[in-house]
Amino acid sequence: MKILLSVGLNQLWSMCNALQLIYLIPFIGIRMRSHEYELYGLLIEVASFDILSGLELSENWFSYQSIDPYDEIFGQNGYDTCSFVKNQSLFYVTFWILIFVYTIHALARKCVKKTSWRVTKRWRRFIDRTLWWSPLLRFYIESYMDCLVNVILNVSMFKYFKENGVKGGDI
Amino acid sequence: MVFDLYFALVVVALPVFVFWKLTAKEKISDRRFEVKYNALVDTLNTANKKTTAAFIPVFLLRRAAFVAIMFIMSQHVVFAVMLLIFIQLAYLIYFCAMRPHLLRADMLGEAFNEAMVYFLYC
Repeated sequence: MKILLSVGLNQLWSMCNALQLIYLIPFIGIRMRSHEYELYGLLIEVASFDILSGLELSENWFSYQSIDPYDEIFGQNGYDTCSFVKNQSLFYVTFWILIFVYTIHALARKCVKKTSWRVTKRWRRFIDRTLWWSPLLRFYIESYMDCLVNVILNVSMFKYFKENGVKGGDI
Repeated sequence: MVFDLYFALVVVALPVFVFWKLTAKEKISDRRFEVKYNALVDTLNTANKKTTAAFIPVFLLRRAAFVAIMFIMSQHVVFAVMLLIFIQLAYLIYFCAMRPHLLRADMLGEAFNEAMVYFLYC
Protein backbone atom coordinates (compact mmCIF):
# COMPACT_ATOMS: atom_id res chain seq x y z
CA MET A 1 0.00 0.00 0.00
CA LYS A 2 2.88 2.32 0.81
CA ILE A 3 4.49 1.67 -2.58
CA LEU A 4 1.17 2.16 -4.34
CA LEU A 5 0.17 5.38 -2.64
CA SER A 6 3.29 7.27 -1.76
CA VAL A 7 6.83 6.59 -2.80
CA GLY A 8 6.88 4.32 -5.83
CA LEU A 9 4.65 6.17 -8.25
CA ASN A 10 5.76 9.77 -7.88
CA GLN A 11 6.23 10.33 -11.59
CA LEU A 12 2.81 8.88 -12.29
CA TRP A 13 1.18 11.12 -9.67
CA SER A 14 2.96 14.10 -11.20
CA MET A 15 1.57 13.19 -14.62
CA CYS A 16 -1.93 12.77 -13.22
CA ASN A 17 -1.66 16.19 -11.58
CA ALA A 18 -0.91 17.79 -14.93
CA LEU A 19 -3.78 15.88 -16.56
CA GLN A 20 -6.18 17.12 -13.90
CA LEU A 21 -5.42 20.70 -14.91
CA ILE A 22 -5.84 19.92 -18.60
CA TYR A 23 -9.22 18.24 -18.34
CA LEU A 24 -10.85 21.45 -17.12
CA ILE A 25 -10.64 23.00 -20.59
CA PRO A 26 -13.95 21.67 -22.00
CA PHE A 27 -15.84 22.83 -18.89
CA ILE A 28 -14.81 26.46 -19.31
CA GLY A 29 -17.00 26.65 -22.38
CA ILE A 30 -14.45 26.59 -25.19
CA ARG A 31 -16.03 25.19 -28.33
CA MET A 32 -14.28 22.11 -29.69
CA ARG A 33 -14.80 19.46 -32.32
CA SER A 34 -16.50 16.20 -31.38
CA HIS A 35 -13.35 14.06 -31.58
CA GLU A 36 -11.61 16.52 -29.19
CA TYR A 37 -14.48 16.05 -26.74
CA GLU A 38 -13.98 12.30 -27.03
CA LEU A 39 -10.28 12.66 -26.25
CA TYR A 40 -11.05 14.83 -23.23
CA GLY A 41 -13.65 12.27 -22.11
CA LEU A 42 -10.85 9.70 -22.06
CA LEU A 43 -8.55 12.06 -20.13
CA ILE A 44 -11.27 12.76 -17.59
CA GLU A 45 -11.78 9.05 -16.95
CA VAL A 46 -8.06 8.61 -16.29
CA ALA A 47 -7.41 11.78 -14.30
CA SER A 48 -10.49 11.62 -12.10
CA PHE A 49 -9.77 7.99 -11.15
CA ASP A 50 -13.27 7.04 -12.29
CA ILE A 51 -12.58 3.30 -12.29
CA LEU A 52 -15.80 2.15 -10.66
CA SER A 53 -18.99 2.78 -12.54
CA GLY A 54 -20.61 5.26 -10.20
CA LEU A 55 -24.10 5.10 -11.57
CA GLU A 56 -24.36 1.31 -11.47
CA LEU A 57 -22.82 1.20 -8.02
CA SER A 58 -25.17 3.75 -6.55
CA GLU A 59 -28.20 2.23 -8.26
CA ASN A 60 -27.39 -1.23 -6.96
CA TRP A 61 -26.25 -0.30 -3.47
CA PHE A 62 -28.21 2.81 -2.64
CA SER A 63 -31.65 4.08 -3.54
CA TYR A 64 -30.39 7.40 -4.92
CA GLN A 65 -32.76 9.36 -7.08
CA SER A 66 -31.55 10.18 -10.59
CA ILE A 67 -30.65 13.85 -10.90
CA ASP A 68 -29.95 15.72 -14.13
CA PRO A 69 -26.41 16.86 -14.99
CA TYR A 70 -25.33 20.42 -14.17
CA ASP A 71 -25.31 21.37 -17.86
CA GLU A 72 -24.83 19.77 -21.27
CA ILE A 73 -21.01 19.96 -21.24
CA PHE A 74 -20.77 18.32 -17.81
CA GLY A 75 -23.21 15.63 -18.93
CA GLN A 76 -21.11 14.82 -22.00
CA ASN A 77 -17.89 14.60 -20.01
CA GLY A 78 -18.72 12.01 -17.41
CA TYR A 79 -20.53 14.10 -14.80
CA ASP A 80 -23.92 12.55 -15.58
CA THR A 81 -25.46 13.80 -12.39
CA CYS A 82 -24.86 16.35 -9.63
CA SER A 83 -24.69 13.72 -6.89
CA PHE A 84 -21.31 13.44 -5.17
CA VAL A 85 -21.69 9.73 -4.46
CA LYS A 86 -22.52 8.88 -8.07
CA ASN A 87 -19.73 10.98 -9.58
CA GLN A 88 -17.09 10.13 -7.00
CA SER A 89 -17.92 6.48 -6.39
CA LEU A 90 -14.27 5.43 -6.11
CA PHE A 91 -13.57 8.13 -3.54
CA TYR A 92 -16.72 7.20 -1.66
CA VAL A 93 -16.01 3.46 -1.54
CA THR A 94 -12.32 4.00 -0.69
CA PHE A 95 -13.30 6.41 2.06
CA TRP A 96 -15.44 3.76 3.75
CA ILE A 97 -12.78 1.06 3.26
CA LEU A 98 -10.24 3.36 4.94
CA ILE A 99 -12.65 4.07 7.79
CA PHE A 100 -13.12 0.31 8.21
CA VAL A 101 -9.36 -0.40 8.16
CA TYR A 102 -8.59 2.41 10.60
CA THR A 103 -11.34 1.29 12.97
CA ILE A 104 -9.82 -2.21 13.07
CA HIS A 105 -6.41 -0.65 13.51
CA ALA A 106 -7.62 1.50 16.41
CA LEU A 107 -9.23 -1.53 18.07
CA ALA A 108 -6.03 -3.54 17.60
CA ARG A 109 -4.04 -0.70 19.14
CA LYS A 110 -6.25 -0.70 22.19
CA CYS A 111 -6.03 -4.49 22.58
CA VAL A 112 -2.29 -4.68 22.07
CA LYS A 113 -1.65 -2.17 24.83
CA LYS A 114 -2.96 -4.70 27.31
CA THR A 115 -0.76 -7.55 26.13
CA SER A 116 2.97 -7.87 25.79
CA TRP A 117 3.15 -10.00 22.67
CA ARG A 118 6.19 -8.77 20.76
CA VAL A 119 5.01 -9.67 17.23
CA THR A 120 1.77 -7.76 17.65
CA LYS A 121 3.64 -4.76 18.94
CA ARG A 122 5.91 -4.83 15.95
CA TRP A 123 2.92 -5.12 13.64
CA ARG A 124 1.26 -2.16 15.38
CA ARG A 125 4.38 -0.07 14.94
CA PHE A 126 4.55 -1.00 11.25
CA ILE A 127 0.90 -0.08 10.69
CA ASP A 128 1.38 3.19 12.60
CA ARG A 129 4.28 4.14 10.38
CA THR A 130 2.91 3.09 7.01
CA LEU A 131 -0.86 3.18 6.97
CA TRP A 132 -2.04 5.92 9.25
CA TRP A 133 -1.58 9.38 7.72
CA SER A 134 0.46 9.15 4.56
CA PRO A 135 -1.83 7.08 2.27
CA LEU A 136 -4.88 8.95 3.48
CA LEU A 137 -3.33 12.34 2.75
CA ARG A 138 -1.91 11.24 -0.58
CA PHE A 139 -5.26 9.87 -1.69
CA TYR A 140 -7.02 13.03 -0.61
CA ILE A 141 -4.50 15.43 -2.16
CA GLU A 142 -4.66 13.63 -5.50
CA SER A 143 -8.44 13.62 -5.67
CA TYR A 144 -8.82 17.13 -4.20
CA MET A 145 -9.69 18.84 -7.47
CA ASP A 146 -12.31 16.31 -8.53
CA CYS A 147 -13.77 16.41 -5.02
CA LEU A 148 -14.04 20.18 -5.24
CA VAL A 149 -15.83 20.02 -8.61
CA ASN A 150 -18.24 17.43 -7.27
CA VAL A 151 -18.91 19.33 -4.07
CA ILE A 152 -19.83 22.45 -6.06
CA LEU A 153 -22.02 20.36 -8.37
CA ASN A 154 -23.63 18.86 -5.33
CA VAL A 155 -24.37 22.23 -3.80
CA SER A 156 -26.07 23.17 -7.06
CA MET A 157 -28.53 20.33 -6.32
CA PHE A 158 -30.24 22.60 -3.78
CA LYS A 159 -31.46 24.78 -6.65
CA TYR A 160 -32.64 21.68 -8.51
CA PHE A 161 -34.61 20.49 -5.48
CA LYS A 162 -36.18 23.89 -5.02
CA GLU A 163 -37.29 24.06 -8.64
CA ASN A 164 -38.58 20.47 -8.78
CA GLY A 165 -40.12 20.35 -5.31
CA VAL A 166 -38.04 17.38 -4.07
CA LYS A 167 -37.64 17.07 -0.32
CA GLY A 168 -34.30 16.19 1.25
CA GLY A 169 -35.77 13.04 2.79
CA ASP A 170 -36.55 11.56 -0.64
CA ILE A 171 -32.89 10.98 -1.41
CA MET B 1 -27.04 15.36 0.89
CA VAL B 2 -25.85 16.15 4.40
CA PHE B 3 -23.02 13.68 3.86
CA ASP B 4 -21.99 15.68 0.79
CA LEU B 5 -21.95 18.88 2.78
CA TYR B 6 -19.69 17.27 5.37
CA PHE B 7 -17.38 16.39 2.51
CA ALA B 8 -17.51 20.00 1.34
CA LEU B 9 -16.28 21.14 4.75
CA VAL B 10 -13.49 18.58 4.73
CA VAL B 11 -12.43 19.56 1.21
CA VAL B 12 -12.23 23.21 2.16
CA ALA B 13 -10.39 22.42 5.38
CA LEU B 14 -7.64 20.30 3.83
CA PRO B 15 -5.20 23.10 2.83
CA VAL B 16 -5.60 24.67 6.28
CA PHE B 17 -4.85 21.35 7.95
CA VAL B 18 -1.80 20.75 5.76
CA PHE B 19 -0.41 24.21 6.40
CA TRP B 20 -1.01 23.86 10.14
CA LYS B 21 0.66 20.45 10.18
CA LEU B 22 3.71 21.64 8.28
CA THR B 23 4.22 24.76 10.33
CA ALA B 24 3.40 23.16 13.68
CA LYS B 25 5.90 22.22 16.35
CA GLU B 26 7.06 19.06 14.62
CA LYS B 27 10.23 19.48 12.66
CA ILE B 28 9.77 18.81 8.95
CA SER B 29 13.29 17.49 8.61
CA ASP B 30 12.73 15.07 11.49
CA ARG B 31 12.89 11.44 10.35
CA ARG B 32 9.78 10.44 12.31
CA PHE B 33 7.76 13.27 10.78
CA GLU B 34 8.93 12.25 7.31
CA VAL B 35 7.83 8.65 7.86
CA LYS B 36 4.48 9.58 9.31
CA TYR B 37 3.50 12.36 6.87
CA ASN B 38 5.38 11.05 3.88
CA ALA B 39 2.76 12.28 1.41
CA LEU B 40 3.28 15.89 2.48
CA VAL B 41 7.05 16.07 2.28
CA ASP B 42 7.86 13.32 -0.20
CA THR B 43 10.50 14.42 -2.79
CA LEU B 44 10.51 17.93 -1.27
CA ASN B 45 13.60 19.68 0.02
CA THR B 46 12.91 19.59 3.74
CA ALA B 47 15.99 21.68 4.55
CA ASN B 48 14.05 24.77 3.49
CA LYS B 49 11.14 24.70 5.89
CA LYS B 50 9.24 27.74 4.55
CA THR B 51 9.19 26.47 0.96
CA THR B 52 8.14 22.99 2.02
CA ALA B 53 5.39 24.33 4.26
CA ALA B 54 3.94 26.49 1.49
CA PHE B 55 4.23 24.04 -1.41
CA ILE B 56 1.23 21.72 -0.82
CA PRO B 57 -1.19 24.50 0.27
CA VAL B 58 -0.22 26.52 -2.85
CA PHE B 59 -0.67 23.36 -4.95
CA LEU B 60 -4.17 22.81 -3.52
CA LEU B 61 -5.25 26.46 -3.57
CA ARG B 62 -4.28 26.75 -7.23
CA ARG B 63 -6.60 23.83 -7.97
CA ALA B 64 -9.37 25.46 -5.95
CA ALA B 65 -8.85 28.69 -7.93
CA PHE B 66 -9.08 26.78 -11.24
CA VAL B 67 -12.35 25.13 -10.20
CA ALA B 68 -13.75 28.47 -8.98
CA ILE B 69 -12.87 30.11 -12.31
CA MET B 70 -14.48 27.22 -14.17
CA PHE B 71 -17.81 27.73 -12.40
CA ILE B 72 -17.87 31.50 -11.87
CA MET B 73 -16.48 32.64 -15.23
CA SER B 74 -18.15 30.04 -17.47
CA GLN B 75 -20.11 32.81 -19.24
CA HIS B 76 -16.95 34.86 -19.89
CA VAL B 77 -14.66 32.41 -21.67
CA VAL B 78 -12.00 34.94 -22.71
CA PHE B 79 -11.49 36.26 -19.18
CA ALA B 80 -11.54 32.73 -17.78
CA VAL B 81 -8.75 31.62 -20.12
CA MET B 82 -6.74 34.78 -19.38
CA LEU B 83 -7.04 34.14 -15.65
CA LEU B 84 -6.02 30.50 -16.06
CA ILE B 85 -2.95 31.54 -18.07
CA PHE B 86 -2.07 34.16 -15.46
CA ILE B 87 -2.38 31.72 -12.54
CA GLN B 88 -0.43 29.04 -14.38
CA LEU B 89 2.36 31.47 -15.25
CA ALA B 90 2.49 32.76 -11.66
CA TYR B 91 2.74 29.17 -10.39
CA LEU B 92 5.48 28.37 -12.92
CA ILE B 93 7.51 31.39 -11.77
CA TYR B 94 6.92 30.46 -8.10
CA PHE B 95 7.97 26.87 -8.76
CA CYS B 96 11.16 27.79 -10.60
CA ALA B 97 12.10 30.44 -8.03
CA MET B 98 11.47 28.33 -4.92
CA ARG B 99 12.84 25.00 -6.22
CA PRO B 100 10.86 22.91 -3.73
CA HIS B 101 12.03 19.48 -4.94
CA LEU B 102 15.17 17.84 -3.70
CA LEU B 103 16.20 16.00 -6.86
CA ARG B 104 17.00 17.73 -10.13
CA ALA B 105 15.06 15.08 -12.09
CA ASP B 106 11.90 15.80 -10.09
CA MET B 107 12.33 19.55 -10.60
CA LEU B 108 12.78 19.15 -14.35
CA GLY B 109 9.86 16.75 -14.71
CA GLU B 110 7.49 18.96 -12.75
CA ALA B 111 8.62 22.16 -14.50
CA PHE B 112 8.15 20.46 -17.88
CA ASN B 113 4.62 19.38 -16.90
CA GLU B 114 3.66 22.86 -15.72
CA ALA B 115 5.18 24.51 -18.80
CA MET B 116 3.24 22.17 -21.09
CA VAL B 117 -0.02 22.97 -19.27
CA TYR B 118 0.77 26.68 -19.65
CA PHE B 119 1.38 26.32 -23.41
CA LEU B 120 -1.81 24.29 -23.76
CA TYR B 121 -3.82 27.11 -22.16
CA CYS B 122 -2.13 29.63 -24.47
